[in-house]
Amino acid sequence: MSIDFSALQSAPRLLIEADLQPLQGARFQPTGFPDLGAAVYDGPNGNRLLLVESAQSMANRLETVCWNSVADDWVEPLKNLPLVKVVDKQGKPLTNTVLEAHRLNSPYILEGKDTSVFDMLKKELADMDEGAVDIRKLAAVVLKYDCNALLHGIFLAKSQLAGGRLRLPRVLSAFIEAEDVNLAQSGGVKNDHVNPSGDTAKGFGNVPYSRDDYTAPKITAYFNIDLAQIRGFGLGQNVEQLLISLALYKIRRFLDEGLRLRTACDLEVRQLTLTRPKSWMLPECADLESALPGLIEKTGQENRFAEPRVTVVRWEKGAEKKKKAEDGSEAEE
Amino acid sequence: MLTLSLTFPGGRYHATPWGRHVNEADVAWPPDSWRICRALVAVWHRKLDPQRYPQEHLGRLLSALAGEAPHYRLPAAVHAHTRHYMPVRQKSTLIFDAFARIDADQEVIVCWPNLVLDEAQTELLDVLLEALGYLGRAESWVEAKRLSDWNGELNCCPGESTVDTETGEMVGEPVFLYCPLSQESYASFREHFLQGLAAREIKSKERKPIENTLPENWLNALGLDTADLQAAGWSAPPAAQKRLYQRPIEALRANAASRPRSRLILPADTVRYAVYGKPLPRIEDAVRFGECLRQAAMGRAKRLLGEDAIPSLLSGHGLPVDNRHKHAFFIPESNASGRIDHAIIHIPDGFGVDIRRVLESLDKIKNRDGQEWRLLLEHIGEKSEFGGKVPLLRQAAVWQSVTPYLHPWHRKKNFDVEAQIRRECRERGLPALDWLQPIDEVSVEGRNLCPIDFHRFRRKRGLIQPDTHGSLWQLRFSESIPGILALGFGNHFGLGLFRPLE
Repeated sequence: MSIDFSALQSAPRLLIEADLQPLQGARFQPTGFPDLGAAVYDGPNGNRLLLVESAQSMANRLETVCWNSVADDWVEPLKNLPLVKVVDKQGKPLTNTVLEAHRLNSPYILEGKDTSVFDMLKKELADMDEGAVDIRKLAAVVLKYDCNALLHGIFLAKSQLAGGRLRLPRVLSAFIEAEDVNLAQSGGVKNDHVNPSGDTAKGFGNVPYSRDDYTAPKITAYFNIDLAQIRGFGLGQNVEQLLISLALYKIRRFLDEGLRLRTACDLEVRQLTLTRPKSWMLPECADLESALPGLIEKTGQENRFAEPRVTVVRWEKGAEKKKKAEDGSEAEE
Repeated sequence: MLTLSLTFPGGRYHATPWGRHVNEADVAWPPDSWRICRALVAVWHRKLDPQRYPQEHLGRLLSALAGEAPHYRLPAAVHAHTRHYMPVRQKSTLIFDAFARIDADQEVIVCWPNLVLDEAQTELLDVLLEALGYLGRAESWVEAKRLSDWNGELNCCPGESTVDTETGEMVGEPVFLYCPLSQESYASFREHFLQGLAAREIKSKERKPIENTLPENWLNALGLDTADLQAAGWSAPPAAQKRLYQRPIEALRANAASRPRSRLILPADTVRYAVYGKPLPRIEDAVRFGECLRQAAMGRAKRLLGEDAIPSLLSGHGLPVDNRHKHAFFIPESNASGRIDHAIIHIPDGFGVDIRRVLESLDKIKNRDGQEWRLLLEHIGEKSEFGGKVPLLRQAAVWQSVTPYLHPWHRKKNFDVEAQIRRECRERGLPALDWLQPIDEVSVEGRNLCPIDFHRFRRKRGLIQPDTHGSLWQLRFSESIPGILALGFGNHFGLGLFRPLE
């Protein structure tokens, strides 16, 4: 079944809510740090809310589901999308823009000895050094090398690139929140039956621990696709459709197989609701899978992607900047 | 009148006020017109076709919006935050991410009471509002629209103070919001500032960045990057003015949980605790245990409710004459080996919030020698909820003594122990006794206990105790009755206690 994008042509945004529940039992473990615990806060009507997954973390998860780490390539339907791969001195894969937290702005791409991508960006974005940033031009360049970054936003925080003013906001943002939560405290002991009183700092000995899980009658994943921003990139209908399909594919894949957020937080979808625009039908994963290769092909024919699609950067640590104190002493000499 | 509605589908609004560090975790609430105008500039820049909507149109629209300070209608919001450490091993700075939590279906109304836009301005505003994806940080998703007719009440307006003239009470809290300067005000401010700057003898290297943040074009000044303003040393944007607003005191509460949460309190008359400690008291010391239990409950009540506010249903003091046995029973419950491992407090008339608070917090009892037992609340509720799990609370027709029965009246002719039991049951409203018979002993795990093996005296002096010996009985009622069944002297403290026979 082909996807009908006509209803989305005037809609400003696409909002999706997924009602989630723990796969087994009632408890789940939210995001949190040992010293801080989980992010619990109050809702306006007095019920306790809990941030299960933040917008930043969700962006990473939505990217991870698109990557086949065994084949070191996009998953099948996304093959031939452009990206930047980083290899080490021996030519072995190190990382890439899909997996890097800051995408094209990754230090492995812009801070190494191999400045090919950096120089390329500098050249292509040279006319933005002065005056307002041309968002359409920036979007076209980002699409060319790292189209994934168009969805998740990018901030080229380098002064040589238009004074660090080049940034694109998130088009696809998401978070998971639980409502009316209750704490489920538990604990246990890591037993050392050889030497219970061994040095715990070195991993020996019995170590008691405590853990906080939560229960909640309502866990919701919220997704927001800024359609007006996608149109605002001014990259033509094919790219618009490609970006919408890619965003929806990420969401579908995440809900289908990316919901094991942590060992003790494995969720499943109870219900999926498209809240805006209400009249539209959310395409199935299979529809997206069959539509995406065609859209990638069409966009490629418009010469909007870099050729070859994969830009390779060799990672070799760049020269370290000298510390200020040393600079001072040299100056004195 | 121009009215906008802002709703936040993600339920969150993130925005740091000007001049505050993000880690102060403050939230600029409500969204000020400086932020709204800048958001519209950003939308125009990023999403609109400049051919169709030229920059001059945007300038005219924003100039109209800047001409007046908007008023607001704010829904209930909670000031919340999350925290995380920066994932840098050497310097794991703690970061606060503050936001206002709002219900997704509640709208913030922004109203310019005297502003009338022309057709072109209205069209552009509608297009901009529709394309507005977020306001403040990217996480605060927003849906904005113009309302053609809205006539609700505004609750956050510019003004010096809001004191109720009748009661003298403060009805609002002051908050500073930023509004854009009008084009004329900005031009005159700029001129004066640049004159002053020229008069100061500072190097051009220092002067240049300041001049760059004072562009001649008002619209450019409105759209300046915050980082550039900060780098030039501005403590507030030069194209904005600070306006004092009064918002409702509870507009951004620190948290909602500080309000007492409504809790459904079900009626209750009985509470059961598990008793922990080594050794556990013996059933022979039932009355001692019962007295300690009362003492512990009284002590806790004194601490929680105050000395003068101890409920009489708990103390048993100061009750009306007709309330003879409707106040608290402090009943020890023994296991098969004759050790007291549970305790029950039962108030036949049921108890209210105060007593419930006391009983819920009761966690230990002590005897006179300082020995301590821990109490663990198992359940609090109506007697019937305990069902068949607690033997003393079961339904039965035949009952047998656990502790000796001490008759409460003096024996007289025709008023022996049997007659006293019958009278007591009658006065308690229990069904008639079919038969009753004395027994010599009760057996507890191989031990046979007769009445004198038990402690049979209250610590309270001056009590009239017609019976010091005690006796053990089996009773059969004409129909089955629910426990607790305790009769005779000291029956509120575990003497004269009966258990149902299987």
